[in-house]
Amino acid sequence: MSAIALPGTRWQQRIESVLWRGRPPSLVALALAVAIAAFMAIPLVYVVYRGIDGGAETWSRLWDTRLPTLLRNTIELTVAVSICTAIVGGGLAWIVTRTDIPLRGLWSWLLAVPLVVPPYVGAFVYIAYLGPRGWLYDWTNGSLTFPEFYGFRGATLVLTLFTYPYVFLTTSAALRRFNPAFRDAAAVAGASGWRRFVTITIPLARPALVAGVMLAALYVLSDFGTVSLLRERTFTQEIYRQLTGRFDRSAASALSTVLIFMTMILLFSQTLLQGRARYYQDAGAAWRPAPPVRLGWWKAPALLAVMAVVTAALLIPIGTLIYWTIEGLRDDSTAAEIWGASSGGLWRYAWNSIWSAGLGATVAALLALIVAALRARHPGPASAVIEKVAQAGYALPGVIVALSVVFLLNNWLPLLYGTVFAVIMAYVLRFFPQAYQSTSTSYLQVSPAAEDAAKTMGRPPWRATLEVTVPLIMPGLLTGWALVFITALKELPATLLLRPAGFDTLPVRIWIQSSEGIFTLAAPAALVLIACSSVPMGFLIWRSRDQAAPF
Amino acid sequence: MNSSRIRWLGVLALILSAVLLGTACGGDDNDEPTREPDPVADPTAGADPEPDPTAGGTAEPLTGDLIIYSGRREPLFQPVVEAFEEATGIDVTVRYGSTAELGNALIEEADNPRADLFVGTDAATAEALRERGLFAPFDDPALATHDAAFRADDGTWVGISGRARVIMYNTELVSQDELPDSVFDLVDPRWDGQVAMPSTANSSLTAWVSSLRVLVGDDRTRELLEGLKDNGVAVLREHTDVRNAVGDGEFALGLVNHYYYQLEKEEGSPVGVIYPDQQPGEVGVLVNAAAASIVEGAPHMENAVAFMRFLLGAEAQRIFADANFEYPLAGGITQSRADVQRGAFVESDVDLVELGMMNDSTLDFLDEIGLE
Repeated sequence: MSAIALPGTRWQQRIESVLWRGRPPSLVALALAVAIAAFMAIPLVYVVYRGIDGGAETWSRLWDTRLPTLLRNTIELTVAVSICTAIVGGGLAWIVTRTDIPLRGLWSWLLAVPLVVPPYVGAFVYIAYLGPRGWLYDWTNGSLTFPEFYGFRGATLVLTLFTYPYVFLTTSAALRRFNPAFRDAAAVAGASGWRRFVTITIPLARPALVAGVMLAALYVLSDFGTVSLLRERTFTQEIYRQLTGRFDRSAASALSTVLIFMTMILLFSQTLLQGRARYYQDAGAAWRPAPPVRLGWWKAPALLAVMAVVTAALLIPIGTLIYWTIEGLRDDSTAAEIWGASSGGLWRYAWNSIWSAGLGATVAALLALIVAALRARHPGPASAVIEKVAQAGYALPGVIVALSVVFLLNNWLPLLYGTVFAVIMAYVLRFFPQAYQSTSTSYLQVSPAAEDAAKTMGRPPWRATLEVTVPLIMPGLLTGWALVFITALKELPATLLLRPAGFDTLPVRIWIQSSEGIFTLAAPAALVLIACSSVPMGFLIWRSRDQAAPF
Repeated sequence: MNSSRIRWLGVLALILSAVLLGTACGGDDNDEPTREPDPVADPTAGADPEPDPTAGGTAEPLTGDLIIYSGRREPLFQPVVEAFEEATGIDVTVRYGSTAELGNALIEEADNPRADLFVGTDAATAEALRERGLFAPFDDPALATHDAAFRADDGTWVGISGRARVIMYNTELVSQDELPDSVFDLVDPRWDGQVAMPSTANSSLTAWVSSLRVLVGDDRTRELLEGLKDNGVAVLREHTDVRNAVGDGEFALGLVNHYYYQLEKEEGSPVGVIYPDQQPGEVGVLVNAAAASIVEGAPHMENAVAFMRFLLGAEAQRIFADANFEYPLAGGITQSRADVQRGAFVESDVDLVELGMMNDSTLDFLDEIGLE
């Protein structure tokens, strides 16, 4: 680009020196990255624009009727789940990584696994137990019930049980790398055990704890299935209702704007909560594993807490799903329906889920690779802006992504509306940032020297990247792919709204059947879904053990 | 991870994505309507009903696909679809969802229709969609036995089964002598927190509110709904939730269509039914219809017409009546399984077309009241 001498060359160089530190990228690479960033950002911008454009009348009607309740419900639920996951996830992480509790290795696996159970599956399992006339009521002849399970309490319980692993994983990764030198120094200086915990362990774990809680909170804001099943009115549910109940998008857009605003506040507060302080722990020569804290008499209650959570978040849901599945298979007509006498059958739903999530993950990973390459090889304000814009959709709830895909396709590509393409596009839009973050982290760790060497051997730049750098960053790329795959596999609201006729995925079937209260049909689909996510999830958990921030 | 393993994983991932891409494209191709010219061929769509009666009489078998958007729940509708597939050999694909949700999809797809046939749970929504020009007319001998009160004049929507708007109750929680006999009684403090209803996003409910607005005026309707709200009415997602909750004894009373009561009773729950507002001067019971419409520019127009006829035939009507306790509207079939037959109760004197025209304003009306 700068090789061609044009009259404006001096200006051009000056502008380039502002935009890029070092060599500017090729025009093709730049155009690609800008296009990707624009693609990722347009939906968000468009929904906000439509929301604000919706008119004062829409806003005042919403404010008079729904907005206050929705705000209160959504904030209450998010705060409650954040606190609960911080206690459960953080506490368990400390017990499992820093104490002499028996079977540490086993617990650290079992406590991470509930991440493969989609919370809406957990919701319908717990409704069967704790609902107003659930099994608890039956077994105790009505003398024991969970008061007001539907609504805030049930939603808090279920969301905590199935999102605490975010906190558990991030915090235990941080605690595992804990350098005992600090604590030893404090001990030499005469600090008590409790004081050392408060002044050394907690501050060192704080960034990871906050990062994990933030993931849980973002999930709560975007959750649709759980709150719907548990009858808690939050933004996502109301947006869905407005989208499906009325023939007018203005209220849905307005509500989406508020929800996007809340998400941004949350992301911003993460920086505040993690604090300005920086702690550096070298894993260098001086590092050694910290000796575990002796629990003594506390061993029994600690073990009990760990077992209680494993039971509630893993054994009960999986066990119940297996029980329902067996019940269903033993009944001939139900079994016929499971295997697909009527519309498709379990394996087709599974196949639909797998290939659409797989394709979405692949596209997201490839796009992420392009933007990451630009950012790593051509640093500077321009690529920083492109990077930020490309991640604009981070943590965007599925209902909003669906709304924006509807807008986008109908205005520009109506031929693609109502095809599987719309669903896959929603997956890419919604989960691109996940693929990007892990890809770009790996990319930044690879020195450009090897690539340059390949170029001096006469390889064109794209081939040098493909042959030298891509193999080196493969773990990061695969992590990104697996993350997108798992989340897309269990995606519910966008799929529900965008799927064409005949394209039901496992989550859609789980949703339809559990809405009907036919658990014997919902359970096999849920089990297959869990099995499908287990393999990539195993890969992620295994990799996260030596990583600071797995997600 | 050592580098050779990484490379292997990389190769594997590449192969996997290539396979996925391949199948995806293949799958997409199959999903595309095989006969493309149809969306443009609107004139033929309009003219279709005319030549078709004769075409139906010839022995030429119908083949290919039919795409239906069904707001009717899967367990209630799939048996009819399967009977049709068996009778014709046409491959039917159904997208199930809520009536309004699929109505929205039709609006989005208006320039490029994906569906051939739309089946909704209430006539008013069908009328509201008709006004947006989404449906093709249907004028067919099959309408000979059809109850004309339950269709649009031009056949753009045709009622396929009738449903009455009733109150169901749990017999263990409410005794015979304290039963309310009007929906307006439900605002009584004695029912505080004991009444459940479906979300106002439910189109049957919207149509019912429209009918009240016609019959007693906006003020009294608002009074009723606000009274229900103040009385802590539980707004559940769907009718199925309401019937299950009343059947389980979570709530004493529920506002539902009559067959939800019948289905709950059939499952052995202790439930009863009230056909309310039967006294002279009272509003009566709204009888609404699940309605079917041929989509304007349907990709498989002939098959859509065939399915429409099938819906109005004796076999489908029998399924609606027997499996789902609904009131048949065509085919000479009568309801025999429901507790209360049509004719045995006073029906609201309203025009379903008028309710359809009110649909949008009723949604605003409900928004103002702030019922969820």
